[in-house]
Formats: sequence, C-alpha cells, structure tokens
Amino acid sequence: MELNAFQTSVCSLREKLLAQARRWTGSGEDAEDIVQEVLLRLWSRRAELDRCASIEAFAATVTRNACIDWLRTSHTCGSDLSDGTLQPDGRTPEILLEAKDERQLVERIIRLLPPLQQAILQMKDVEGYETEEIAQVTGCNAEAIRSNLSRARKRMRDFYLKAIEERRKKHG
Amino acid sequence: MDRLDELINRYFDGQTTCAEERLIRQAFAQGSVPDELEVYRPLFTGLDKLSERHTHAGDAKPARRRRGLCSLRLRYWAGGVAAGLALYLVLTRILPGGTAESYVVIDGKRYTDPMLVQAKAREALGNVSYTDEELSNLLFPLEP
Repeated sequence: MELNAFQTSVCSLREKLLAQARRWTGSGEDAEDIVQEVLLRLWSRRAELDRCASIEAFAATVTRNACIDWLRTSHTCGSDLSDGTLQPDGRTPEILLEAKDERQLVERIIRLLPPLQQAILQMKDVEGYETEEIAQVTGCNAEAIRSNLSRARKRMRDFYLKAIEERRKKHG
Repeated sequence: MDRLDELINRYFDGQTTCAEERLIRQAFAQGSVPDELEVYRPLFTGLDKLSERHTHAGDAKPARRRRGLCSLRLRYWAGGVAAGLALYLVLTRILPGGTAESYVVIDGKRYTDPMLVQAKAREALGNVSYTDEELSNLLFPLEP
C-alpha cells in the first residue's frame, strides 16, 4: 500500500480512532500520542492491510490494544521515564550493560523508549524517512513530529550516556 | 568541525534532514571527529549499522523501492523498444518483400500496379466461379 492509498483508507479514520483513544485515556494529549503511534504501527504493517477485510475494524483493535498498553504502563510503572531511567533505584538496566556491540546497544535503548518514540525513531533514524513524510503518515503537522523526535533522541542520548558511563565503571 | 557539533545539536533537537544525518554518520565512520564528540561514536555507529541492516533486509522505505521499480520498468520498456526495432530491421532489411504488398507475376515478372493486380485477381476468380445456371445444372442434372 502506497502513501496515497494509506492516507485515503487509514488516515481518514484518524478522528474515529482519536475519539476511541480519548474514551480510554480520558486525555486529549495522550489520545493524540496513542493515535500517532497506532498510525505508525499500521504504516509499518501496511502490506497486511491490503489483505485485511475491514481496515477500520483492524485499526480499532490496534487502537484498543495500544490504549490497554498505555493504561497498564501508566498504572503499573507510574513513570514517564523523564529522568532517563527505568529502574526504581535509578540504575541503568542490565540489558544495556550487557550489549555486545554498538548496534545491539542502540537497538536495546530504542526498545526501552515509549512506543510512540520508538516508532518515530525507527522511521526516521533506521528507515530513513523525512520528518514531513512521517507527518503525512500520522496526519499531524511536522512540528509535532519534530517535538516527539527530539524527545526520543534526547532520551536515547540520556540512556546511552548513562550506559557507557556505567560500563566504564564496571570494566574499570 | 564546528559544523559537526552544530549538526549533532540539531540532530538531538529533531531538526536535521536525512541527508544531514548521513553526514554525521559519515564523519564518525571516517574517523576524524573532535575529542569532545568522540563520546557519541558508538551511538552513531550503532544507528548506522541498524539502518544498514534494515536496508539490506529489503525493508527500505517505499520511495527507495519505487526508484528500484521505476528503474526496472525503464529497463523493460527499453527492452521492448529494442526488440521492436530489431523486428522492424529484420522485416525490412533482411527479408525484403516480406511486407503485405499485393503483386502479380506474369511471365516470371513481378508487377505491383494495383489496377493490374485487381484485374488479374478478378480474372482468376472468374475462372473458378459458376454462374447460377451452371450451378443449377450441376446440382440438378436434367433427366435424359
């Protein structure tokens, strides 16, 4: 499925998905983030959408799952990772200290980010999409994508700097 | 190298284009970066390797794939044109007279005059045709 077809068949569902996410989260801002993430997930699975009997039903299911994940994360962790850590004691997750090379380290750091930031970083830094192209997929403006991208990269940098500092300490 | 420093700051602010991000990765891949930026080498090397692996896995973004497809279509199109040209040359140069031109051969000589060809064709058809009377006689011969 090409971008034009995706915009017609998927991005047109944006308002419905937004209303659905708003009902789950009770917050317009969080609902917006969830729908951006859902649209990016759907874009990454666009090959499957061509075979899908009802794209709307599929998109609604992905949105519901994303909302459940969001509720689970926000209720159980109670953390927005704003300090660049995942551990309650502020230590860097062991998984980063055990990475065997640079690629694995970066891959693991990306996996620790919130789903929307993961999806944007994946599209921009790994798949090589321009910010404007990501904005077209999510149906929001490029500035909103830049803002989320910046948050994702800064968080990635924080994790990274902490990880290499601890690795240095660990290995002397 | 101030430029690299500035690019990295813009990278973390989400302001860089893909081309600028490639420049950053190239700078680290080629080796010479200021000492204060050395700390970022594993990060950009890791990102570069991830991106490379993704490209090799055949999951490149559609625009890149589209370029590949365009190039493939262009090759098919060029191949079709070349095959057509070759066929034309074979028919016109190598096999002269292979075209659907009407002609008549009289005493071993080939004539292409349309009027003459038509007249000779009518004459030939006349030789093998029957009149209504001839046909009736043929089908219902009179009893002796």
